[in-house]
Amino acid sequence: MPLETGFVIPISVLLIPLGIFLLFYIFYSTFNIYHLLRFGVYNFSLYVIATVFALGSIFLIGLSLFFLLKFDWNAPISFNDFVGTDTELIGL
Amino acid sequence: MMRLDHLPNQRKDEKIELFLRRHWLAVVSILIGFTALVGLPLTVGYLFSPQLDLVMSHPIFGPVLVVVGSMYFMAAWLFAFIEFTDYYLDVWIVTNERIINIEQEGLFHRTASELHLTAVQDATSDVRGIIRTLLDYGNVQIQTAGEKGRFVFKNISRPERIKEKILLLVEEDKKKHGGHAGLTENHPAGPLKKAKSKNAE
Repeated sequence: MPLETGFVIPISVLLIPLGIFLLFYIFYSTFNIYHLLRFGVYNFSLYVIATVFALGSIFLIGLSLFFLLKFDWNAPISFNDFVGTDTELIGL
Repeated sequence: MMRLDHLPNQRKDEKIELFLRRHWLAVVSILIGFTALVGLPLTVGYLFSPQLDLVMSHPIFGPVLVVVGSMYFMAAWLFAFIEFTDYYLDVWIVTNERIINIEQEGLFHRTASELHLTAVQDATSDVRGIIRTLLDYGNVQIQTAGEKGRFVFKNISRPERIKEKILLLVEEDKKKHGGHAGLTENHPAGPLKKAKSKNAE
C-alpha cells in the first residue's frame, strides 16, 4: 500500500532560495562594480574588467535560465518521490 | 574615480615616480582558485555523465541540481571578482613629494593614507622564500619618523629596486626642503598628514 503523506508542494519552491541568492548576487556585484569605478585608477582596463564581469554574469544567468526552463515547475513534491521506484533511478 | 594626472591635494610641481600594485602572482592565484572551483564539478560531471543525465531527467533531482549548480557557479564567479577587485584597488603611489597608500580590505573596508617623503627615515626590502626569490617579489617597509611607524608595500615586484628608488627620492626631497626629518608647520609641503579613511558603505 503506498504511503500517503497528505503534504504536497510544487517544485517551484526551489526557486525561492535561488531568488534570494540572485538578490544577494546582484547586490554584491553592483557594489563591487561601484567600488571599481568609484575608487579605481582611471584607465581603459577598468571598463574592460567591469564589462567582462557583467558579461560573465549575464552568461551564467542565461545558462541557468536555459536549464531551469526545461523543467515542469508545477510538478508536485511529495514524500513518495523520495522512496520506492525513485531510488532505482539514482542507482541505489 | 582617481586620475593619475590629478591626484588628491596635488602640488604644482608634484609628479608620479612609481605606481605599484601587488605582484601578478596574486592574479594567477585568483585564476587558479577560480579554475579549481569551476573545473572540479565540471570534471566530475563529465566523468559521470550517464549518471548525471539520469539525475537531470528526474522531475525533482534535476531541478535541485540545476538550482544548486547555478548558485555554485555564480558564487565562484562573484568570489573571483571580489578577490580581483581587492587586488586591483590596492595601490601604492610614490611621487616626488609623498607616498600614497590605498588598501581595499574586503568589500566594506577601505583605507587611504599618505606620508610625506621628508618623514621617511628608512626603507627595507624583504624577499623571503624560494618562489619570491625566483620571481623577485616581496615587501618594502617604509620606516617613518611618526609614532605609528611603518608603511608596507606588500608583495610588490622588484622590492630592492623600489627601495633604492624611494631612498633616492627621500634624499632629493630632503635636499629640496632643507634636510628635515619629519614635517613642521613651516614646511612647504605642510605638516605631516596621515589621513585614514575607513569606508563602510
